[in-house]
Amino acid sequence: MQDEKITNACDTCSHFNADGLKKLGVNTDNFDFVIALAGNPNTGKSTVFNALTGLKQHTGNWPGKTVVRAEGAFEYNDQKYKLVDLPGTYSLLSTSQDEEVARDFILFGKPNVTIIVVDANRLERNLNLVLQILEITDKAVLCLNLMDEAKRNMIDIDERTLARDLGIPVVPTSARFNSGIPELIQTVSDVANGKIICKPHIVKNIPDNIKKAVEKLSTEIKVQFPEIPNSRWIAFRLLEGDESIINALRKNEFV
Amino acid sequence: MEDKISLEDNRFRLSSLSEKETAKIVGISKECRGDNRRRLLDLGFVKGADICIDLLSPLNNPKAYLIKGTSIALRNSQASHILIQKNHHYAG
Repeated sequence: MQDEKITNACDTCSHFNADGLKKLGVNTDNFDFVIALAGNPNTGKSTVFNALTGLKQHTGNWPGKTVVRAEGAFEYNDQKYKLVDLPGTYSLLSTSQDEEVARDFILFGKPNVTIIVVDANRLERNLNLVLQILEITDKAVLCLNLMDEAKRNMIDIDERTLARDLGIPVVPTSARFNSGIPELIQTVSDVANGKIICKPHIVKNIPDNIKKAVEKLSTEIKVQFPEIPNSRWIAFRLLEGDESIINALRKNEFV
Repeated sequence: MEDKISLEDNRFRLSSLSEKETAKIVGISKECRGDNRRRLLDLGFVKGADICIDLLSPLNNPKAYLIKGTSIALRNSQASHILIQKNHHYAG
């Protein structure tokens, strides 16, 4: 029934459908993987979401449009992916209410892969969030969106060096024109299935005393909550006195 | 000359930036700490960044600043925590 709904020209195009992509719309049952879409405000996350799921989640060229998460799904090579579109956020550390939705999902939702959508025109501003996400998860794909606009602005990005320095795959896209989306799907599938192993860049120049404190806390967190994948990050937040993390630990929301 | 005057202790609060001026951020004042400081840094108000006014509201508060390619609106009370160095404008 879902299949009948798909009338987009891209679905019948041999290039786009060649590898068995099926957009499933809102049908998010029995998924194999959960994929999160994160990124700064106004970088085109919802456009990427629509391109992948065939849904028509409202898109607009202004920040703060998505304030709750939207869910959709697609099937690729007989595996079902549930895609979660998150509100844009500049940071995972200081959060306004809508930004908290994004942070909580990346932290507690345990997505199999996180697609970090960045604006190729404003890469520097976007990298802050990228590094913060890479502190939490090591399964991530960087989606270098708005490449058409970057081209117009004569911005040239060395994707290979960027991928090497960040330690995660980088896929240039213009989601509005569907370009790069097949490559993005393939990359996400490779990361989800462990064909691509990410070795994300982690900030290393930390003062000794803090490093020791973090290590000590981190081992204790691991003892108390063996299922937490990012104890180092939690340790940092505890040292900072982050209330929402402290509460989450108390309520055992991480497991 | 005009630029000689501005060379003397060229340090201002962002809230004093006028519409035609451009500046570079020197830092965030020590009186701004914790979450507020973190927030400003996350929005891109970091040392060395170029900044100018993008849009004014009718009462001049808040003002939208152009920072790292994005327009961000701040109240004057927030902007006063950000320290800047104004760029010289050569007459001509």
